[in-house]
Amino acid sequence: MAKTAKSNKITGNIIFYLLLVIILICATFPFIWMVLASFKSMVDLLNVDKMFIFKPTFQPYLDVFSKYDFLRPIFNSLLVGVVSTVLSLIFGLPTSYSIAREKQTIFSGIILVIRIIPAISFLVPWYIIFNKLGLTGTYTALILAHLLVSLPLIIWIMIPYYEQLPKELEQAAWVDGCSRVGTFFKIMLPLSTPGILTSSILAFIFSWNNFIFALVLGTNDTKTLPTAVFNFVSYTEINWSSLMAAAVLITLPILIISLALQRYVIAGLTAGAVKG
Amino acid sequence: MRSTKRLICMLLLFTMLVSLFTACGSEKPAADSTTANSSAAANSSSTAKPFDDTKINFIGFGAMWTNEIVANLDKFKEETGITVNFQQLANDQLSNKIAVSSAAGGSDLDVIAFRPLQETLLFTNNGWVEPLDEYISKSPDFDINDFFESGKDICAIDGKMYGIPLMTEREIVYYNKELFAQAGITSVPKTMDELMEAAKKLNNPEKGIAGIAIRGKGSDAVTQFSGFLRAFGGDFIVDGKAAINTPEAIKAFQFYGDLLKNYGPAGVANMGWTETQSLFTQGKAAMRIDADSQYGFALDPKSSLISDKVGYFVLPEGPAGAKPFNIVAWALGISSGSKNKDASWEFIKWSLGKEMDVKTALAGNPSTRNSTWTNKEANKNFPADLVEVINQTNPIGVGTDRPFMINVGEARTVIGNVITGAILGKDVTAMANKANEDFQKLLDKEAKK
Repeated sequence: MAKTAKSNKITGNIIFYLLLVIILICATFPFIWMVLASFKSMVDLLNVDKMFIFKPTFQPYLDVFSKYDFLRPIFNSLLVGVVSTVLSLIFGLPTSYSIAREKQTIFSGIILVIRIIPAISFLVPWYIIFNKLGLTGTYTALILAHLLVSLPLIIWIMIPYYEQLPKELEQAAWVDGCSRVGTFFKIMLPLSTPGILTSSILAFIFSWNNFIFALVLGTNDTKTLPTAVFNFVSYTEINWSSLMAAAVLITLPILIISLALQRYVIAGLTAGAVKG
Repeated sequence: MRSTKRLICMLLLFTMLVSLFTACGSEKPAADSTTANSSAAANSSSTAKPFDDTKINFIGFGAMWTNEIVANLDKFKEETGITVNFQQLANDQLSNKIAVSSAAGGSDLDVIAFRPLQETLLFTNNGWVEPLDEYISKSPDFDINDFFESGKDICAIDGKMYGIPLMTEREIVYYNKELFAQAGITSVPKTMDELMEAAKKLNNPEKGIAGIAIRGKGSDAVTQFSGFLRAFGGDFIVDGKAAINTPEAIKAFQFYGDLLKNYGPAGVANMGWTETQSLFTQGKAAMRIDADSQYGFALDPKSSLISDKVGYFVLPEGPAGAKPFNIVAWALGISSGSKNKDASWEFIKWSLGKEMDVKTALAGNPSTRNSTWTNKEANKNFPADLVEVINQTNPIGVGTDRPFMINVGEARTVIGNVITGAILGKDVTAMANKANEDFQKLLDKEAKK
């Protein structure tokens, strides 16, 4: 009896890992292909026989920086991503705290509506407003546009976070003479660091990947990485090698952030998921 | 709980309405800014150095032409003082960006590159591009008469020019000389039947070599299909009516479908120009039909395994003759909302002027000027046998490669479905009848406007 249970467990394990490997191959294959392709010359890249065995070259990466000036978009993406995330935190954290503590469901409702409406429907009105303000093609316009999406994201991740922090902690501070603002900064903020990390990572990733805002609101000077990728697509040919090298460079920071801070990202995705 | 729900609904409605109104309100400011622009332009042209410190935005596509122009922008600045801010996008993104910007006044666009066959009607109907006749008449050195007549026609609506042709392309057949020799084919196909015959001989699935590769993916395929449709005596629109279910058209669909189904590469029904290009340059397709502007990729040893084996021939003739397209792929125009129209014209005049046109031709751009094509020096970088095929195609070429209408995108999808269906071996007659109905509906919708 014990023996069959054990062998059952082993077969179960084998099936589990087999499935895991299959899923892993499916999920990572595009990435592996991308990385391999970024080290190939165009001739090898299109050659199916040289899928895994080929003479690696760094030329695509050199081209990305020498022929196509990729530094500017990297800088732009970083600037827009960091500033919009920091601003979202500055505006969003006090908002979610007060919504959580004072049960301001109307406000949270409004914010949720903004989150539900597809961001693209804001695009034309935004464009007109920015045009009138003379802001089209500036970093300000891009950052404001990204705020529109990252702010509700941060607020809605942080509301349940503040709700679950015990009120007694604050009340104890009040008894000791701390002001309401003081408790927020001295007690609640430090306690919510994991939540802040989670939400800002997600907000940053959104901003980093966003394409449509940068396409319409950006110009050559302010274009971000996702739009810069189109430099490799020309009317008569597509430079796949450099395109893949650029894709690797764009994915790398997000990959590193996600792996290093995996715990927080997952926590953020499931925050409030099973709340009664 | 119910009140919260109702609140959310109200808010949702409110936000939608607001964005609707903001969008509607855009027409007025656009008109205002045009008048302001013209007076600003008048002021600037009266000063001695009119364009010092002027900045213009130019959005366009990537190609050999653009690379050469971008490399020379410093010289342009030296001559005129104009700084050109260039943004490169892919076809559809470019079109979208122009649409969104123009709908909102278009003041951040100056020079725009557009595809005359795809976008002229839409852009002029909405008033997004500026008529250029006034500028042209002010610039005799530009010599507008030097441009191909058919190119100018396609950029003009009701006698007004809205764009200056930039790049031409023709439908030609690329072939792999080595594979032709191996199959024992000594002369290139001259008729559609010979083409089918050759494709049959060259097709070698065991070796993974397809007889012929042409676009098979729905709307992408429409442009290449046009040459076949007309060779069989059909056309997309005849006397203003949809005509894609005529006996000639059905024959053409059937032929195109059979050709690719029997002798095309595996999965051809999902292929666009990049896929057939890869197959051909990897030596996996013996023939390929597409635009001649893409020749560079096949000849570059860095991207092609067959760089020394490429040959070209004119699209074979069908029952109604040889009817390849010969079109203007791109043109330059000025956005109506631009605040720097004079400077924008200065840029167009320079970039498409005779001097730069020779330079861009040397860089590999198929020009739209007669003087460049007759200039031996300017064409020396084109392969001689390609120039021969181009010169044979030019006189017989048809000026459009797709139905010329506003909603060409949807029309291409409708027609493309029949092409893909034919390749997959479906009932072509039934599909063409159904598509013709849908196509006619699209035409009716436009006629009403």
